[in-house]
Amino acid sequence: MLAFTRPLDKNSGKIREVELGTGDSKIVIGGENVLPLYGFDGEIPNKPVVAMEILDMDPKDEWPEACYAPIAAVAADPVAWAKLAVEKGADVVCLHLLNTHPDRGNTPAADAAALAKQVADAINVPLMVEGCGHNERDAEVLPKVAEALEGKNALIIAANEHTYKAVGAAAGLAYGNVVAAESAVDINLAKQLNILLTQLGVKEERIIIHPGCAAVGYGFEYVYSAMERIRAAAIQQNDKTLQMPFVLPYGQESWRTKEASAPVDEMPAWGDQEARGVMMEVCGAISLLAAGAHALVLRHPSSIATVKKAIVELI
Amino acid sequence: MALSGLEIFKLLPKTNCKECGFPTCLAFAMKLAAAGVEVDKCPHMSDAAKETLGEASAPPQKTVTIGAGDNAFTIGGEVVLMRHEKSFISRPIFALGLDENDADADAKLARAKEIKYDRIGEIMKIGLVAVMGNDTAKFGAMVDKAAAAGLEAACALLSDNVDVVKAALPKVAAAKPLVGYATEANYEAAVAMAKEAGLALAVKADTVEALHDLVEKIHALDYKNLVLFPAPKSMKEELADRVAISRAALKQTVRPLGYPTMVCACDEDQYMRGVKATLAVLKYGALIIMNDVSYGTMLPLFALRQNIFTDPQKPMRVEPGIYPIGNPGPESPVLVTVDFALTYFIVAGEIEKSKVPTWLLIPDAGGLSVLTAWAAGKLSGSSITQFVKECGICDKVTRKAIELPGKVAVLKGELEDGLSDWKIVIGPDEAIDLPKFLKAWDEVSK
Repeated sequence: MLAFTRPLDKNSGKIREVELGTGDSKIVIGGENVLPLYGFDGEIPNKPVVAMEILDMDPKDEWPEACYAPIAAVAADPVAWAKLAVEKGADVVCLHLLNTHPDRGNTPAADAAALAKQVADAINVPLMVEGCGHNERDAEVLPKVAEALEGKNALIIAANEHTYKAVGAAAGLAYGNVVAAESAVDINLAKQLNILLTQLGVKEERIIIHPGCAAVGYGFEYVYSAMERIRAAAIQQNDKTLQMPFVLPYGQESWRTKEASAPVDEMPAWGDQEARGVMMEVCGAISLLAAGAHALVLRHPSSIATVKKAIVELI
Repeated sequence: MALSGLEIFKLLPKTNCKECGFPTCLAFAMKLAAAGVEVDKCPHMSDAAKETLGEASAPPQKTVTIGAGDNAFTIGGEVVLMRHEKSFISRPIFALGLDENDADADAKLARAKEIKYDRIGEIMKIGLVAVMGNDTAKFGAMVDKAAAAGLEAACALLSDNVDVVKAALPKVAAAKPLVGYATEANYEAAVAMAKEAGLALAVKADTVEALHDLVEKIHALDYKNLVLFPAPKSMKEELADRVAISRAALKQTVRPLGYPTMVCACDEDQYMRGVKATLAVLKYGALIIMNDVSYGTMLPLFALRQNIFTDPQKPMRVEPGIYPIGNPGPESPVLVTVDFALTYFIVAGEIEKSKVPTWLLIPDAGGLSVLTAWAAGKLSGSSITQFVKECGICDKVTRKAIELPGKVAVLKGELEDGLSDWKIVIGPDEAIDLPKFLKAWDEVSK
């Protein structure tokens, strides 16, 4: 009888380490030379981090009750909300500038930048700032934000194929921050955008990949496989243009789904909204970790606590 | 391990009789090695050679069937480690696991029974109830209780003590349960029991190495209807175990590990239980035992399973038809989209969010997204016209106004020709703008 030995994979590639924040609040993500969670094959020197999403507007009329309740007391005050996020154990705070969208408050760039600075100064963890997703506004607002956060080493989300010149140059080059490169769930698009940013002069260690995101049950398989393919290329084929860590703003996708947002009186059989909303968020977050996420942005404090506990047990 | 063409050639009669349809034995051997022809095509091969060849060409992970009738399911048969390499094959089964001492069993069974979720035509439910324990009387009582609960599910009888399982087996023998555990201490008795009743057998050992050696001994007793159960450990170690088993089976054709794996996703915290089940779905769990379930917290796990076990070559589709959302009436908006499941979900979600009752029409568009379907000629003015005329929407609405997705606004003229009594309204390019659009429907549809 032949003795059995576990097959292990030796890889040639390694994910780049990227720093967020400065001084005592600095954290490092990436650095592993293995596929996601596969510490038995090699080394995972840094744990993934979990951010809490906070908004520049009170989401009372938009967020499902179960998602809103834990933050209701601070929802109108982004600075208080940011402090609550840190209290609840968030490794990073993500300020989502939804109200800069033309269909909403169309907040002036200077005001948004001032708010970002205020939040950054109020917390002792790194900051992410996410734009509203409107290309023209993001290209105008995010450079101002990057300028206001000069030297803070914040993560600016995101530069895409339309906005990479404005956002990439400001966040990644001029003001010493880190830029998330967002593409539409495809390995080649992710690669192309990384190349464009580096050709602009942005250093690789100032780029994080935002591979595009979708909720579990809503096209998640595309996100999962795109991430797996990007990680396989980076780790197994040593593709240097794809060796950046991943950031995934998942909470906003998850809480939009019917499973998470339907009130109990609409779907009585589904039961407690908080339990299913949190489970939706946790299930997606864990799946993204398994596909290689290094930084997750979530909404509910219970999701954040659960995912952080799982990270400690898994890595 | 797969054999090369030359190795196969050595097992053939070497008579070049051509009865297999190939000019020479060597040509036939080469075709066999490439899995392009059945072994049986050669009428002159010895039985011993056939067995060797059959063994060598068997799939790397066996499929195992558990349960009887409508409650039967098949697990295993996987061929790749990552779904994008080809496709995952057998959806893992979620099971409720009950300890014989579980005081809460009635409530758990009732919760499990409630779960019946239709997600794009696939009914999701708890597929199996497992009873676990080591006391004959308590175990038997729990098996009775589980059977009486009336779930549409298969069952499993799991104990380290074969006599405990044997005593309970007659109660549910017709349901073709999974039985276990075969361990280093009892495997001969366990195999005899499973063999006699023709049942799948769960094999348990502390480590993957021990599991491998134990299955080799069970192979020596000529039993191959098995489910692997590496004993529960930390999440991290369990993941390492499952990766080791799948790699060995699928990449190295290590036969003793070429079976589906059972996972214990048990935790008192419902969210941590969900974490374990999530990892089991993604990473090589075939039968996922949970110590409690609820409808709401199973929803994401079902959705994840459906996503991950979709063939990447064949996008998920919804059935063409009329989808009424929010109880629409004769004056309600009529929208057109495509049968690509992702598009349907996004569009339906935005309509629900708008709270405007709406008729959503889904013609057959080849399961493609709006632009792709249009480019491929699967969504055209004539296909929409024909669908609108035949699907019965004309009898349901009095206000004949129909929205066309903004991305295919180019079809407007063609539609106006085909549906001359309808007003054609161009909708937004992106679904996210639908709520705003629908709220203004009275204006735009005039």
